[in-house]
Amino acid sequence: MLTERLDIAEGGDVPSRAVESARSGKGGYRMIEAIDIENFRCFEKVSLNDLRTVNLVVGKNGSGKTAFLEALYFTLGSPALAFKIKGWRGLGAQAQFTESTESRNAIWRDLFYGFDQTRVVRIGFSGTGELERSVRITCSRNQLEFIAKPKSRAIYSQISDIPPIEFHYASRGRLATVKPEFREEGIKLEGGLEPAHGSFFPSTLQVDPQETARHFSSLSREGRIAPVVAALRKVFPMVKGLSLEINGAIPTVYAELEGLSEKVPLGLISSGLSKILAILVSIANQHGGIVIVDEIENGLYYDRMADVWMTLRQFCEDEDVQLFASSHSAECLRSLESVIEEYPEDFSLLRTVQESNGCVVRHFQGDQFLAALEEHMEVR
Amino acid sequence: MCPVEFTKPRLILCEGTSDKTFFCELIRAKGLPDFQVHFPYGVKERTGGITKYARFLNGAKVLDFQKVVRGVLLVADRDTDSAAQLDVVREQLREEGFGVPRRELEYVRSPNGLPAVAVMMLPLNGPVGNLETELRPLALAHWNHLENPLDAYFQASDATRWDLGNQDKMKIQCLIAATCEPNPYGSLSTLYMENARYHLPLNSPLLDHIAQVLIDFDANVLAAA
Repeated sequence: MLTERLDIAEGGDVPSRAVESARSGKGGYRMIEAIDIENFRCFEKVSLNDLRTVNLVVGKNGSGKTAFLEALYFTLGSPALAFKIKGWRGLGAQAQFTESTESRNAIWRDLFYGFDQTRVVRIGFSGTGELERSVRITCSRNQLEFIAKPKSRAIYSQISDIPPIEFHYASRGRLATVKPEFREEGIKLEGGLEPAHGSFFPSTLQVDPQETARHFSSLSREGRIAPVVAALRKVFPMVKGLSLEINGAIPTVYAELEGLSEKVPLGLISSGLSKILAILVSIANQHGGIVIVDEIENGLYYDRMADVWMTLRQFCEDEDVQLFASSHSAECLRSLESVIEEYPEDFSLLRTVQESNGCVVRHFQGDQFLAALEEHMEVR
Repeated sequence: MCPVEFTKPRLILCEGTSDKTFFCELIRAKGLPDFQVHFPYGVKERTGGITKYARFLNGAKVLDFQKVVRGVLLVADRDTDSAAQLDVVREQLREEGFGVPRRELEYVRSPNGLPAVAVMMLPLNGPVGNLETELRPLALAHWNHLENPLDAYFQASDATRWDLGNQDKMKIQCLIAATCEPNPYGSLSTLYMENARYHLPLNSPLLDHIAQVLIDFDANVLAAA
């Protein structure tokens, strides 16, 4: 199935069986119903089908939770996301390289399973909608060897601006190859496909209030704020309304609160409130896409979590958005029980496990996830 | 209560806290092969019972328990209809994709790498009853000075009209209440939290037949595989 689905990235446009089954599946719209991952970071091979509206990713430290989320995100956009992801992981968001071959090859080395750049990275997904997307990352073996052992300085300088790595994106018959070029001013990444709808909330960063304000403004212009406020009030009932105000010179979302005569910037009220609003406006702006939240429980008080899940599920359904969220929190998982009980078909559990030959992802549907929660299994 | 994790290759799945205490204490008292002992918990209902075995096994698969657990011994009370009770367990094993034993203590292999399974009915050799029925002879032997007064009390009560399993629960409960001074409200599940002098001695030869099942477990699982 992997080969078939990823044929798209090789240049074909043959709908796979996975795509067909995705379209007849249950559980509403999902941009990613099936995904295959090969040779990406800690994953040698992962093949998942029947993903749902809300997909919770759990697993021990180092088992590949974040790498899995990154695989989803990476497929949506351009190779530049690799640098963004490096930054979130504390590895430096800027590409730093010298004239040495080693430093140039190392830039994308961590994308490859076992750091083995002779492998081909493949990630491809299909969904219940029209979008299919895949990326294939290759390093030309000849060029790798050539660059690794330059015969002379002259030859090296001729080829040094052509790194061996190539990113081949494909989506519904459209193909684009990105060949990064090393230049004095940095790495030039040109081409690629229009990014698919998606956003990523990394665990290491606070939400960006300006990004929230931008999303909020966009929704406000379209007259789509009311559903966001209604959803937010399900989790934080003290919020009476939201508006965009100028704080100093910076546009900022303010909240009107019960019992207060003056509006207050969200950041002054609660980081949990800011986070949920950021996720909600992101969902509203990613119609037909995905929203990825690493360690969703961060900043949220435990007794809000059931309302958070209920609200996010409903909002995702309303906006045709799929949510992928990771969690380490037993309370966060426990709070899902009542929500899954009501909507078992909208949830799935993805459990990353480190095995001797790399990491794998085990996939369980809502009813089985619920059984594990009800029986107090250690699913974290 | 700690979340369930699977750490041992032998698993006993029983009905509730009393059964769990009994098996854990029996294994300890007789130095038997180590088993992990669980019962379906149900975070909401907080009750066990054989009808919840399917849910427990379904949830256990989320933890890949088959990578650790080689065999599962499911324990069920005979109650008043042993065959019906066995069928309740068999149906759940079928539902969850495990092997389905035709009779009690038949060890069968499960497909798809799932653990081998067998069903043990309690009392092991009696036609009806439960764990307390199994323990009644031992309890009356251990607290023999209470046998006649207990019988007189029982004969004077409405319990004479109950089924045997409930009669035995009543008798064991009375014996614990009459002997366990630190906790007369206690039950089999709390008895072993008290000083050893209040315990029912599970190293008794009267329980050798159950111990033998646990001793033979590995060989039977291996034979089933």
